[in-house]
Amino acid sequence: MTAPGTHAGTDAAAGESDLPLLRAERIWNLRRFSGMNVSLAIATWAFLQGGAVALYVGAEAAIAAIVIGYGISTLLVALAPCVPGAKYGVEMYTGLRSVFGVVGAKAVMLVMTVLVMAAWTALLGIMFGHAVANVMDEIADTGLATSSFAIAVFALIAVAAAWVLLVGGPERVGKVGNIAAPVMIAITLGMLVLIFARTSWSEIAGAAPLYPMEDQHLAFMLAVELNVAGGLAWYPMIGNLARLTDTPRASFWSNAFGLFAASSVAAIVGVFAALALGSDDPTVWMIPLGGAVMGVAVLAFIAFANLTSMVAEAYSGISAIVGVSQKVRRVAWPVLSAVFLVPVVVICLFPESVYNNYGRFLSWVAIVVAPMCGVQVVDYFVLRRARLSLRDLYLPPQQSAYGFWGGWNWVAFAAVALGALTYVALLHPVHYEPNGGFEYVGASIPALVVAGAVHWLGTQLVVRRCGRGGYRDERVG
Amino acid sequence: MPDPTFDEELERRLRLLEDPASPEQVLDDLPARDVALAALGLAVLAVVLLIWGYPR
Repeated sequence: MTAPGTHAGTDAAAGESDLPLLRAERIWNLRRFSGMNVSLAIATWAFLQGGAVALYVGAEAAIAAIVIGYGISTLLVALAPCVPGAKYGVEMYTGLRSVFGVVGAKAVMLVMTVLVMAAWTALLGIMFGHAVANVMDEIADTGLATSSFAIAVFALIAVAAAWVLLVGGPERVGKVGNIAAPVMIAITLGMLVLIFARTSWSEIAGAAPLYPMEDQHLAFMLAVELNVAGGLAWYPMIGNLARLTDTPRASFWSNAFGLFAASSVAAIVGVFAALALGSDDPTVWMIPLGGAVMGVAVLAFIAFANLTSMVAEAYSGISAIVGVSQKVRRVAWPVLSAVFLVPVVVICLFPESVYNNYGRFLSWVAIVVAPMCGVQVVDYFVLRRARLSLRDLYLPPQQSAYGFWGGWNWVAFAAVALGALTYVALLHPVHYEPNGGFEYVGASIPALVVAGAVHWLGTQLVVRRCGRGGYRDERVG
Repeated sequence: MPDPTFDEELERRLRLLEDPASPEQVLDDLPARDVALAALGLAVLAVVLLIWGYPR
């Protein structure tokens, strides 16, 4: 990896800028993108996901909830943003200009980057803090794992280290990150072996959820919802990777092997560990499972893996920020990196608020992402029949077919807002308490459907009638 | 202020991608059959898992 945005004229840097890609720059076929997808999916957050699911349901229901939830959401994410991003080779938020307007898409990008990607980066930092605290406790019997202050300090150290790596050597981090993925796969499989060495399948299958609920159907729906939201959380990141694929099938089916299958396996291993050990915190599992020496080694590696994931997540977010304007493109990379990490630092100051509330955290992500995914699917596949005008994506608002009203498509924003309200009406994001109707349909999927339907209706009734948005005039493809 | 290097490179790429005679064109559409197959596979898997794993 190299700092983006400073080599606009070279082919090598095109994948890191918002230029549309040419064929030779599409470096991933089905096999390679699947490999990348698997390595992204089997990261430490998959264990957090499994731990969270184990709060509500036992092993068999958890397997069903994970496969169904991830299956639905990764199918949707594979459709949009992956398919349009791969077809046109454009940076994801550049492609979203056809949905939200040339200026509106930049606002969407800033919100997604600053809130969603920064929050994920912070979550990884906090998990780094927990892992280091558990290592210190095992080695020096310090009792740091229960201290929010100590975990915040370790998380801030991780943020500082991520900034140093972003500034000084993202290329090296990329290479080291390549080692992290196979080791994480080995750790996942090793955990599975160790779990079944100490616990039989019938014991795991018979284990009660960590937070048993009286209404088992509602608990199951909460578990499914967690996984729908977990899969949708890939939305801000995966589109920019899919644009590097060389065929539409590579951009679509690779998600079935990575985001779906690999995430499901890792989360299921997380469920088994949580049920066997009685904790939803992955950093607590390793020492009881592997013993003192191996447990400390695995925890140290998890801390390291989190750091490389933080750098990758931050790098992806900063690369998107570069596309905001040519002014931003000229800002020095270390300064941009520091600015991106400011909200990360703020979140890390309250480690337990995120780490102990993973379901709520996912809920906040899904409130924004589910309606956006619905709007993009309807806009691209239904309203535009999979045709975009590449040139208009790059024209200023007054010249572009995607100028809408001063660069903003208010209909798309209204659709996202109504989708978000639908989510909140079904599942309260602060208390994480479901309301009437949730037990039948969940929250993310209705939010996605409502947003998509409102966008379709608003476009037919308002946008098309006003002759905005270029819905009858897609020129390329 | 416009960035001439970026703008020139963007224009070069857009011309290549818009030219029907150029080998540098956008990718084909994903066949609808692929989406239908994925959706069907997922539906079958979901039914089987609900029968097996739904909490009783």
